[in-house]
Amino acid sequence: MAVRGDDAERGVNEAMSGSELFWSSGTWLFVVGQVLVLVIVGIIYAYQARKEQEALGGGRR
Amino acid sequence: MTTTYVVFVLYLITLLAIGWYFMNRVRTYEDFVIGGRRIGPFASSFSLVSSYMSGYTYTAAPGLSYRSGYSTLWWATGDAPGNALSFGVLGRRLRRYAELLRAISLPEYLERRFNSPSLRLLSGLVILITVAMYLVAQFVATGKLVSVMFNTSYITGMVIGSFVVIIYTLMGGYLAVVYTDVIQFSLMWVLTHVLFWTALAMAGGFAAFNDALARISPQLIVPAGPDNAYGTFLAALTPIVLIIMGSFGLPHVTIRHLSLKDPRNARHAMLITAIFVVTFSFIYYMIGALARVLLLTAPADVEEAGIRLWFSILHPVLAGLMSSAAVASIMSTADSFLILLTSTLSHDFLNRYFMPTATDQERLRVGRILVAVLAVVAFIVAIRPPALVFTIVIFAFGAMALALGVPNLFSVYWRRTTEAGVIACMVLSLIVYVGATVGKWNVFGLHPFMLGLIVAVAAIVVVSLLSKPPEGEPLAVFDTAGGYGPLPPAVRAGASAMVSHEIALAIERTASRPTPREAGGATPAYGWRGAVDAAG
Repeated sequence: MAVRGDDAERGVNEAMSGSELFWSSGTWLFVVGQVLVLVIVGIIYAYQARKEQEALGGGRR
Repeated sequence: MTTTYVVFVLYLITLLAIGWYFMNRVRTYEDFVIGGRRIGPFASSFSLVSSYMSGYTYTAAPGLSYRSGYSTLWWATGDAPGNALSFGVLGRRLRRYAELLRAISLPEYLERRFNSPSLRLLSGLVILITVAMYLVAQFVATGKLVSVMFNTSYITGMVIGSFVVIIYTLMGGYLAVVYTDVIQFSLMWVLTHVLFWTALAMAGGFAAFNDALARISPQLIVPAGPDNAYGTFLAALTPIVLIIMGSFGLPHVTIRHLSLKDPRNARHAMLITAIFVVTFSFIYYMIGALARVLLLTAPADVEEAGIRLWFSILHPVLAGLMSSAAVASIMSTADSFLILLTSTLSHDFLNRYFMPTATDQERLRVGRILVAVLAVVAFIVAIRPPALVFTIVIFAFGAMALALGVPNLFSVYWRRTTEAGVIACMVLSLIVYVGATVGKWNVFGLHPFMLGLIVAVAAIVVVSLLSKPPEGEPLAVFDTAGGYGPLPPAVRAGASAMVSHEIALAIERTASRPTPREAGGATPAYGWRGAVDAAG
């Protein structure tokens, strides 16, 4: 078995290919994090646009 | 190599042309140090990102991923939220506040926000010391990068890169800095994508690249990285928090907020920044990991991995452009530091204390002379740089994030923040950060920056609560700055007599007690009213 003690604990399995390791170890979550940044920025953008509209007396469109 | 030279020289000529173009458009001192507050969201966004991305982008960052693979993305993860939210969360309010207080620099903003000349002096000193170290490091990086890319001596490389930056900054001031930044980041974004996707295709695609990387070491694939360096929650969180807080504190970042044409542009700039940094930061880091897979021989210095990669796989014209992009990452940071040092020395120290009655033209002349003097001094220091220069720079990044980032955020979001709270935050966080770094303190296993951050937040909250709460006028201005409506028209027009009237009306609506003027008291020497009256 290619899995070593410490490595096994953090999901490093030498029997796996690099692609399998990328998905199984959660490395793909880095990309999800960046998508989340875009979502948060989009929400803040929309919120500030609505507040500016309200401040100008226009209220919700 | 001749083609590479030609492309690089054309790029340098373009930068000089931009400096020359803006030379006649810089008419006032405010134009020179802050672009006359007329920078749009797109230019502000690109300018912020390119000045934030320094020589680190094409040397240290690829070097990190060459050694540690995907785990270095913990550092890249903070880039996009830090850069983008600095506009939307901090920049919008800071820009409104700065206009209300008629402040054109961060120290001036802090002085007027808290009615405290001491804060201007303290924040000015922090900026002066940290930014001067950064500027020297950028000149050193230019020398190293140009000498490696074009096989010249270190001094020749530094002369070529630094000379161009100095000349266009001297001619066009902040406007030249911003518009050269736009070209520089465009070049960086496009060419880095060309390099990344070309390298990925040569590696056989995403799956084949991962397989090849795992064959070198499976630890290069996992988020915890080699030696489990990021294996704990705190170890993974620290780089993200450090990078985000840096974006709120770095003075060459916050100056982009102050120079926005309109506070409402901050949210547009936030969106533009998020899109372009999300699609850039992972890519520039991962160039190193691609180099590890593709380069047949290991580079002598891992920080040369990226450079070796593009000279190995790109067409000479593209390699020339990529080299220009790498130098651009340094130039776009160095030019911001030059302007920032000039603004701090001339505006926050010289004009504030020794030349308060100088005309706009006299200030402009002094500003240009200081750019030249500072550049020469930094250049001389960079000829024989201190051995620990880059260690000091990384350290300075954390110091600015703590001493300026935390006060910036609290000053625009917490009404109860006081002068004493901000001074305690700056002094105590720096003492703890320096002590923990130099003395290698182990406090619950916290990184010195995280320890400094806890102290900074605790100090600003506790000392503010223990000191006399702000009341009356500053609170009215705080509320106006935090609002979403248009600023009083007279403020926008710069008509100071009307400014007093407009803000007085706001004060009447919100203040809990009569203003000193209404109560027959003395007008404060500094602070928002002092600033407005002085302008009148």
